[in-house]
Amino acid sequence: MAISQPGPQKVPDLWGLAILVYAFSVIYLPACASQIHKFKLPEKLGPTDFDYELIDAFVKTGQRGILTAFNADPHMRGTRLQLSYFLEMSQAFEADFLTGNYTGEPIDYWLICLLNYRQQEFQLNGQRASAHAISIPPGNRLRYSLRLHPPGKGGHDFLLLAISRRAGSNIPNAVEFPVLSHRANIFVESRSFPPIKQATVPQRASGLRTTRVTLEPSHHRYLIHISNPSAAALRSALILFANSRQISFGALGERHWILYFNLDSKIDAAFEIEPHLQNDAEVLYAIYVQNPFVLLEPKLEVMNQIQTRVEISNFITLNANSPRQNS
Amino acid sequence: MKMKILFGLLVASVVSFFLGLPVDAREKEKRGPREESSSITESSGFDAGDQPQVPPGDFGIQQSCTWWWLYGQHSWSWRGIPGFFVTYNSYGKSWTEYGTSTGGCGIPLVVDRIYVQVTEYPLNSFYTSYDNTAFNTNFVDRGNSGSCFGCPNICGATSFHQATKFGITWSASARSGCATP
Repeated sequence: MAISQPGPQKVPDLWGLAILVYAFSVIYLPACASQIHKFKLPEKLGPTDFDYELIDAFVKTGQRGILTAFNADPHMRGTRLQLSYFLEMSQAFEADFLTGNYTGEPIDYWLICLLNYRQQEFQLNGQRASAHAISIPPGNRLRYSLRLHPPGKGGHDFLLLAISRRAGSNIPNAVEFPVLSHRANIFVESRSFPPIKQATVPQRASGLRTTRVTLEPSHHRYLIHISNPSAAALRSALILFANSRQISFGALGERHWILYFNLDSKIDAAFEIEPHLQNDAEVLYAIYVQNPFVLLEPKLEVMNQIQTRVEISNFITLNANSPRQNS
Repeated sequence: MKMKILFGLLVASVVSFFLGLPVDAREKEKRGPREESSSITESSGFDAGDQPQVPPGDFGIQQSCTWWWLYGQHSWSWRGIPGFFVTYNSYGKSWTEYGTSTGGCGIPLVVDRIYVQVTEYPLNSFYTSYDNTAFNTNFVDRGNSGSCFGCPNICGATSFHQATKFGITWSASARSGCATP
């Protein structure tokens, strides 16, 4: 009687399976993961208009103050926070800016747009200029449409500044609302911010606990003071303006349009700068930005809870004897 | 043995996957602890505003508290001999409340971001300014105190108060003492 014996059992090719799994995990999945972090235009359009219910909730009270609001065109795909916008290449940036004056006195501002902390020409209500003078009588609320030429590919910091045209006093806050601002990220087919070169500024342990940036004449230059009294280091950007125009300046042995630097915790920094002033410059001031080039909405509709203030220094009124380094 | 090797490869592949994920270092900003205010002395400067009044003829009935109020307040004091040795204190706070046409109802109004800044005014060019920001809350404050040889006394202060919700910002300010124009 023939007895059939089972042949040797075929063992699954575990080696082959292991190699496949390994290759899948090491090569394919990370490639997918990197796609997750690649630029994706949000499907949802932004708000169509200002939230007037919220605006009126403040305004109707009759309390004294200034209202500012920013609402980008819905195709900028901003959220209610209006801190991030997503554009395609060759898409212009369009938005409305609203400001209401409930101070009881007229207010006058220069409106200035910066992209990556460089002043830009932009259209305001159809007029193109690098700075637009606006005046708002007391009790009035005015709306402005602005349009910026298409930013290039990449992540950008956008800054709209309203700088008081009533400058002239050297005393900080002598002007009641010296600067108003709206800061946001604009992403054009990429979330990558431009690389920046950080300078090392002279620092010492803080004694004054001040966070205000101050300018004072010093010999033939100007001395700038900035402090960081907080417990965390502060990445910083400093730019200078004469009248309504951004100017370059010498500092720490180099010429800058924007000076990027770090301020350690509990530190005062003081260093000299040489503004490159034109002969028609009448007033000089600095704008200081905390933590440039950060995601202001790390997740949509969630505000990044770090210091992102835009501060203005005291205004220095220039005269014939003021230190000048003509550009 | 083969199972052990397979298991090891699986573990290695999972680790490789997570290590390969790009990380945006900018999303890992550290946040410092919120600093508490110093002691508060007498109030001065910006009025906290009237308490809501019951409309005449509507005894016991209040208007519904649907309006938004931003309040701000600052205070300062000093002791010593100006120009020789002074000790000083100052403090500022901002807060938001739901309210009526006449003032807040004491109901906290949470905003995305709330801010206070105080600038102390001396008689000469020595200025100290400090600020604080809070998120997703209705209150922020900050104080400053210290002593100084050869400093003048604080004679006034300005404070700046700001609240932001959904891209809309209300800004207010107050002045006291020699900082009042």
